[in-house]
Amino acid sequence: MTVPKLTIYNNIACPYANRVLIALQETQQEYELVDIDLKTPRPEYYLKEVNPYGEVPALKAADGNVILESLVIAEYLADSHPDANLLSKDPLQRAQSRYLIQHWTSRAQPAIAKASLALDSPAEEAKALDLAEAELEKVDALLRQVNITKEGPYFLGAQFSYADLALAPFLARGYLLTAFHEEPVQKAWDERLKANRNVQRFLTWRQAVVERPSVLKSTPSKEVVLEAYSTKFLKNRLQKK
Amino acid sequence: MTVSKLVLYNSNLCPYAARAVLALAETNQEHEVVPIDLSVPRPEWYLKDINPYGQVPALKINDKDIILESLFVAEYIADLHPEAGLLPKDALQRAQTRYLIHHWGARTQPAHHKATFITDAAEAAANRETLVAELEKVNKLLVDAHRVESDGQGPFFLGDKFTFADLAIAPFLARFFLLGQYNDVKEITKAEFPQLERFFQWKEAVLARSSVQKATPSQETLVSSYRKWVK
Repeated sequence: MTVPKLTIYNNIACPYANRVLIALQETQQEYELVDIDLKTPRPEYYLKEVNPYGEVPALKAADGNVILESLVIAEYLADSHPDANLLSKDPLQRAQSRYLIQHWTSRAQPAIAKASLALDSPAEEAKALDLAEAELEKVDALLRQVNITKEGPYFLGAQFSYADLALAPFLARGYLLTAFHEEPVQKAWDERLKANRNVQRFLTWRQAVVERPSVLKSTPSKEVVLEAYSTKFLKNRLQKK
Repeated sequence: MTVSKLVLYNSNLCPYAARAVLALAETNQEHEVVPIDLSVPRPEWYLKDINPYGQVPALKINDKDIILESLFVAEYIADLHPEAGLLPKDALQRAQTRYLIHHWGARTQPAHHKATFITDAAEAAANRETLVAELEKVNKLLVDAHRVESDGQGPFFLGDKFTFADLAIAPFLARFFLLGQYNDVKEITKAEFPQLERFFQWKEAVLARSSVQKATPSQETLVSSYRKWVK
């Protein structure tokens, strides 16, 4: 019986846990996956021996060391497998990668989340969509700033790297922005982005990232995502689509 | 890429900017400093050319590229000088470094903030207990730090060497004494809480480091500058 080197505590619906799955795929290593149900109280052993906060993802190495926090885990896996080339050797590119992740997390993602839940009035919806588009334009500007040759498709060019990995689960859930709005709104949003020349680099990047095999393998189905998202954020407001 | 010129946009009072100052000091990296006054609206040029969010620190490289966010600035400087050994080579130590920094910012620092700035007596007592509980978690992280023999038995996070985790949290350890300056919360000491021995050993060592002392304003200055946070 082979002892697995790594145990990953996971839930497929959790985008943060998806990051770790992508890193595992990209670094091509063996691991055991333990599913943690996020809808019921955590098992005693999980809180005591793995993560007192009860969250996923978590990593337990063969020697018993536990690592928490999705970005810390992803970077640990990248650090341990330099041949996967997930971390740039250039200090400036590394700083820019971290910054893109932070910028997305603190500015773009909240605006997207707000737009996805702006369901109460057309005025609220319009304002939220405007703000989301403005944030995507800022992301686009960051992408263009780094990639001076304007080749893509990934953040650093031809090489898929840490920043792409960290944001992939959120890019793969892009449809959430309009999933709970009326269908004409969904169509209009897609057309709007296509017609906006200030988000073209963003769209190219997003498409390349979400189509990457490691990302496809690590992303739950639309049904799972819609169910998890609406349970968490919409409660009684779920609209049947 | 050779770095010929670094400009740090800094404020002496800002603990986040202090991280960049420490990284520059610990690596002996040549640089210029442009002071930014945080008590007045930012100048137009700063918002336009350096940081639209107006914050410090910011680092300009070779009159071209700009890095924002204190941890990214500090890590960039550390990366320029692998010989300074600020970032451990071991992947697990790097992970533990990142986690400690994250943990301090997400859990410990907010607990310290509440215990320090909320003046209501009943709340203050509860906040002190919460802070102690959070410090126990930090104590455990310090005790559980993965070390190899060459790391030694020293007081820093990873042993004898002052490394990135010590650097990133140092400015906040330097402001730890603010607890009790604005309310009646009693000081948290090793005598009262012997289970925090490792935490106090660590804090003492970090605050004794000369780069940390040079980068920390006087206690009087800190007490008066933080008064605006009192609730």
